[in-house]
Amino acid sequence: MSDSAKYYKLGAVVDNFLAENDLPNGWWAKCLLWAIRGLRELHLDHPIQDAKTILLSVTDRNTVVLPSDFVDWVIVSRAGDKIVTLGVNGRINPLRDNVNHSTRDDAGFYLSNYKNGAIFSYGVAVSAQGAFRVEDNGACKQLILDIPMGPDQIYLEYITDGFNPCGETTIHPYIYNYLILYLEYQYEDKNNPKATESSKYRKSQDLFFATKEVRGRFFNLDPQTFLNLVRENTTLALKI
Amino acid sequence: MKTKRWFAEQVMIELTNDHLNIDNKIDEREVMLRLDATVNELAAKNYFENWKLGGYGVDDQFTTTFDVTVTDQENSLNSYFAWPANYAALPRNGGIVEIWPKKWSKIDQPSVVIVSHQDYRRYRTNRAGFLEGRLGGFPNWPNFEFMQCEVGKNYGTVFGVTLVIRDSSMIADDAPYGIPSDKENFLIATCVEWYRIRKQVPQDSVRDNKDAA
Repeated sequence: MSDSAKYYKLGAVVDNFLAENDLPNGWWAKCLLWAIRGLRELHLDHPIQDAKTILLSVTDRNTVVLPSDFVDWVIVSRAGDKIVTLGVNGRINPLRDNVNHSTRDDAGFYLSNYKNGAIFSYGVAVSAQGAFRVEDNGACKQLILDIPMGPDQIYLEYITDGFNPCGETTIHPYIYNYLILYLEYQYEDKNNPKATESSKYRKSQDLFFATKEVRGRFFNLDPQTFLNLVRENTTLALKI
Repeated sequence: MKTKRWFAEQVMIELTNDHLNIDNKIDEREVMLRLDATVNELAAKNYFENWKLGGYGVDDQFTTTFDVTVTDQENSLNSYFAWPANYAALPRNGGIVEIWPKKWSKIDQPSVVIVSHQDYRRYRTNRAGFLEGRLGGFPNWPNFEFMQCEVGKNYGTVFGVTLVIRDSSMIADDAPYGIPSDKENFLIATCVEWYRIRKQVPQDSVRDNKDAA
């Protein structure tokens, strides 16, 4: 399977839903509304699974305008001949309270000489390579850098809410079936003139199990991992 | 091949109960218009029959495809084209089956998303408002208005439009008249019945000064 075939466009999910249900084109916008809502609900529970890395330009004011699907940052690095990590987020917050006040983050912790796998120093002190803070006042999200940096670009790895409002949103294949069932449930619940209480209940059950399936696929906690976690501080010393 | 003329002839033969001759008072062009009106009604009926069966579409034999030319407006106002014909009033603009760019470099362009003007305004405030980058538009009579400007420049000015309609001017008398086979007899019978009822309506047979145009 090619890489492009592994991911679905959100618009294609709506197309498939309309085709499966013989609905005319006039339903498209409404179904997209439902699909976006379904995806958003899913991301409220599972935001941590979607992290992506992008290259951003630094503005003349020494700031970086963050993308609209930004939820929280993970790693910020300076781009150039060598990539220098400025900070790694130790307190990832998937639901930022940015309603009425400005939220500010410091630069997390700093790892030096990280590139060979050995960490020689670790601390919350400001990085010698420059520091930054993330400011999100609800209307504008930006990353403010303290000193002008040489190359005017940074790499940002961040947690995304999964939307691309300026283009086509792509979704993970695990979510595809969930979204189709979400659309079917909404259609049954609100617009299908032939829906009955039992058919609505059946669709809600399908959606419930689809949600469980998504959770099971993303958070694949198997028994061995669970045992490893529980026995983290246990030694296998013999009792005598 | 059953043409529109063939259907008109069947109606006239049933009405005259004789071979057609020069004395026949009903003109075939008059019958053709009546046929088209009946087919339009059948198309809407077909939609609701399909709905009963679980589908929601109109049979493709009831649709007609037109070519339209898109006009781009100045000052970033929305592009538009004029409707080539009136279409059947079906729920959620179901009378408009499809609109798509005919001459565009990419062959995979999906059909234009059809919304209502009300939805267009309401959806602007949420993330579905921009239709994930797809081309959309709404009927704003007598035009179809796109949600973008410079559509003709970006997608080409020629668009195909498929409507649920029987426009008598668009289908030649000798061209195949696409009536589903199970509806042919119903179409003829309905037209014959319409003329029989009309014949029973009292006529103004008194010649007086009110007859002057």
